[in-house]
Amino acid sequence: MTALLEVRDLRVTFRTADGPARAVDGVSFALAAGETLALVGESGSGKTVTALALLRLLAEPPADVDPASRVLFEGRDVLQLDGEALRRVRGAGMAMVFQEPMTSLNPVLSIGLQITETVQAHERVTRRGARDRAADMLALVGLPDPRAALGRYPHELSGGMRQRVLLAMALVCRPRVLIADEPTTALDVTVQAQILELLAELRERLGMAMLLITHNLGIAAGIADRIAVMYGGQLVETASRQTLFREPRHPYTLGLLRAAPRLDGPAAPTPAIPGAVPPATAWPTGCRFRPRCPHAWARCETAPPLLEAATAQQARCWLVEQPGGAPA
Amino acid sequence: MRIRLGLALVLALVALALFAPLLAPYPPAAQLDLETLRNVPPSVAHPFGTDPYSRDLLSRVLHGARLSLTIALLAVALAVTVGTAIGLASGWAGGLADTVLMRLVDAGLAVPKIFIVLVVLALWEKVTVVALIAILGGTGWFGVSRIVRAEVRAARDREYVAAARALGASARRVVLRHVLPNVAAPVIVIAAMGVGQVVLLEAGLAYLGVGVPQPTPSWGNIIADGQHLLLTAPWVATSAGLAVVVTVLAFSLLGDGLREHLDPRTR
Repeated sequence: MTALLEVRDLRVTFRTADGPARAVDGVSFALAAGETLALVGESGSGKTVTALALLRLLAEPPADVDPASRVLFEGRDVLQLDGEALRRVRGAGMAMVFQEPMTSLNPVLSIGLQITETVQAHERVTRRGARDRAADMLALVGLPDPRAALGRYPHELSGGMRQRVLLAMALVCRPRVLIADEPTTALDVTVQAQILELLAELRERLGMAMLLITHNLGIAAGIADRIAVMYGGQLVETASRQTLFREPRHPYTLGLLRAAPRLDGPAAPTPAIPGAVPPATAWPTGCRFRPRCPHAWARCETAPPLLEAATAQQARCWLVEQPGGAPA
Repeated sequence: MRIRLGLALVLALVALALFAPLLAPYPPAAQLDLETLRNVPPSVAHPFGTDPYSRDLLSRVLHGARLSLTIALLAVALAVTVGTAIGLASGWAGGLADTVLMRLVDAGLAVPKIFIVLVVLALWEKVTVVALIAILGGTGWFGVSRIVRAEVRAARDREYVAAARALGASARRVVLRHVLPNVAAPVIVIAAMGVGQVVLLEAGLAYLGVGVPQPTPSWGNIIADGQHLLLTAPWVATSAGLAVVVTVLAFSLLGDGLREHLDPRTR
């Protein structure tokens, strides 16, 4: 299966007062048609910057995307596209849904206008045709009375409904890839579940690939085919969903899984990973997880590459080569 | 409430100006009788009195409204257009262009406007209405561009701007559709207030002798006609002076009302 989207060695540096911040540092992954890949990590691990870089949405400066980075969408490097060609990829090829449904809609424009705007940006359609498409899309994302909803303004809708509208906006041009950055974080838990269900269903119906960005392993578990765990601007482990949950190979992944509170066992304090993500201006030398890792030993002073742990599973940890860890 | 009163006054003023030829009892420049009708105090025949040239003041004030309001409205339209365009460009482009434009605006705001206007008008041998509009509009956009720029800076970092770009909206579309509406409210308010200011400025200029030349009536030159007679025939200056006061008040009320109406925080 050839990849629809292939990211090779993506590096994004921000110029800051404290020196260059290597927010994304050599991230590579591939996304096949119809596949869902979840990018999981803590705040500050570089997930959102990765997503924004894919569509060239980072302000440059202060961001600086390494010219050697490649973002191949259907074989073309998005990072080399300019002006009109780039505009056409955005929305029609790859679309993005943002985190905050409250602020991602323009408060002074009607819902209908904001959706038809996307259609008209990409296709030659009449105003009426665009409105029909918008209404169909609103029906598809499960908004009651879509025709009437076209004339509404964002403040008249609840958070869950707004997120549905944002989905409709993103999907109305049938993109091949949907990038969803924390699409449910700002929503109530019950609404979260509905939106995730909707996402899974839409992916199925529209046959698109999805890159889901989340800090919540539970969400990734519910919807992703493959999961990539990010830490310190790098991927530290990628595996299929089943493998990752059954046999995590990176201590960080294990820590994340352990830190998830369980509802089915006796109440106990959740074991947290000690410490916090270091700032991107000062990554530790060697393995970036070393200062927080319970297994760290001398070898970790050399940065490990992504090592093949099993079929379709890679982990950035020397433990993959030396399962026993530190020689006694 | 304020917005209704302001709007009513403004509409009344516009109607008076529009229908001045029908409402005015005499032609505005007609010298009725230089022997008996000079400086006549207000009476039934001449409700506002007459001026030193025996012209009917009511007629002059009504006709003056046409000129004063036209100048003010067009000058404000010019100022708002230029100011919005420059503010948009400056705020959206950022960087060097922004710095240069805003320093120019600072310089413009630093010099008293009446001074710039006087200097520039001195270049014309005879002040025409077009020149007056051009210069009043051309010096009125500094403040507008500042405010528009600030709104654009705030709007360009909004999430919905990023969202629109992420879905393939062009830069032009983003600016016109998503950014411009944000600046509309403050600009409308400034424009409404600005009309009153320009009326005042035009009157001041005419008073200083650099306004619209006689015998065409403008509120400014009516006041200028009356300046020597404030003690003997106060109605000459007062007639046009009251018109200016009412106009400034009307547009201020409208502007204030609009500000309240358009700003969701004060609703």
